[in-house]
Amino acid sequence: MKQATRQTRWLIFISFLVSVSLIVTLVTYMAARGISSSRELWFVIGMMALSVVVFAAFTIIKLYRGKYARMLDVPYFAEYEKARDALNVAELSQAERREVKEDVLSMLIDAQKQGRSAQDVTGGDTDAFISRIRGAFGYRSTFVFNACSSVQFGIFLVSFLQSVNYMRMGGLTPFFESGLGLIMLIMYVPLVFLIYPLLRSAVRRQKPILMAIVLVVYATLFIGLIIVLDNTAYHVAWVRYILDTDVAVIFSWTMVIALAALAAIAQTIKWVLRQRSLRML
Amino acid sequence: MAEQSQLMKGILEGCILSVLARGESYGYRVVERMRAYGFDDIAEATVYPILTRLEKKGALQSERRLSTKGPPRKYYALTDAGRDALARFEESWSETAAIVGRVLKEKSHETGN
Repeated sequence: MKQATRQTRWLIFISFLVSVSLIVTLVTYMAARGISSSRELWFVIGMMALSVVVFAAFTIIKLYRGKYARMLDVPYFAEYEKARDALNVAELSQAERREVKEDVLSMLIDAQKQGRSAQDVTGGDTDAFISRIRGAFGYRSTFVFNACSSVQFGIFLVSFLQSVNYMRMGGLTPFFESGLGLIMLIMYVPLVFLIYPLLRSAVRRQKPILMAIVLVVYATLFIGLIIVLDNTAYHVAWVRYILDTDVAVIFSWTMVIALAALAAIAQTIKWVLRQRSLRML
Repeated sequence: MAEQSQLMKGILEGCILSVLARGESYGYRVVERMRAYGFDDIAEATVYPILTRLEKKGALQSERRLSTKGPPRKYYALTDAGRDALARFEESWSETAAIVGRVLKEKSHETGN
């Protein structure tokens, strides 16, 4: 393990802040609401433990260098890390990502051995370099392509959160009735179609601070909105409805099939767009 | 500007096909050979996406081989489609070079240089 790059240190720091924030929120929640059952207590403890484990795993992954990456000195590894992070959010298949990462690594090792700079390999603009590679694989950053990715992310998010909610209830409420707050679902729309693409762009452009700012600002705005609505407009019927209603998005097997079909359609559209793009190369 | 960059992209593709027509090679060797021919500023950042694009178009095929100096290296070789593409490039380049040559020659006659 060699010295961590600036980017690694930033990402670990931000990850640490997110973990601490989550734990503080959970503790505050416990203090404010009290714990009415051992099931709820275990859920909160489980979430805290998960937060610590995720942070530890993230740190180890970020600091660990594979067999060949260990051959790189810090400036070359920093460039590799930028390319790797940009590739991780690029619209490429796992196999394509692995292939390109290996190629970039190989090129950087060559550059280091020949005394050329790391920027000589990537051209100094990692985002543009990765964009050209994506283009070479036939992927285009079009509105339709990105919208399909967002739809797939939205389906994943709703399924994941409903599963978490189901576990929070300790399995006492049937999965198809483990609803999420309507206000939360409303929040997911900008999250999926605006914040998610913004975060991907921030990661690709190596802007970890921008990533943190976007997340914090969005969470603050959302929580602030709920507090304001709760204190000033709770008497309005539709506000009360939005704040108090729980909705189970996945409420039946038919819905499971419909969402799976929607994800498959989005994937098919992406595949067709990619094939068309490949023909235009 | 966009047309100029398209033109350059086409020229580089043709030159890379020509380099690989002389024998299979890997990314950095292609860069070295292109530099030796006078493309002084060319780097992997330019060549690698072109190699990938040519491979996706079927003009090149690649094979990973173990290297003593690092991870397995990807060696590129021309396919039949690549040889056809190179022949088309050579033909269109000869025509373009002849036309440009005539234009420039005429201009130098007119200005008396």
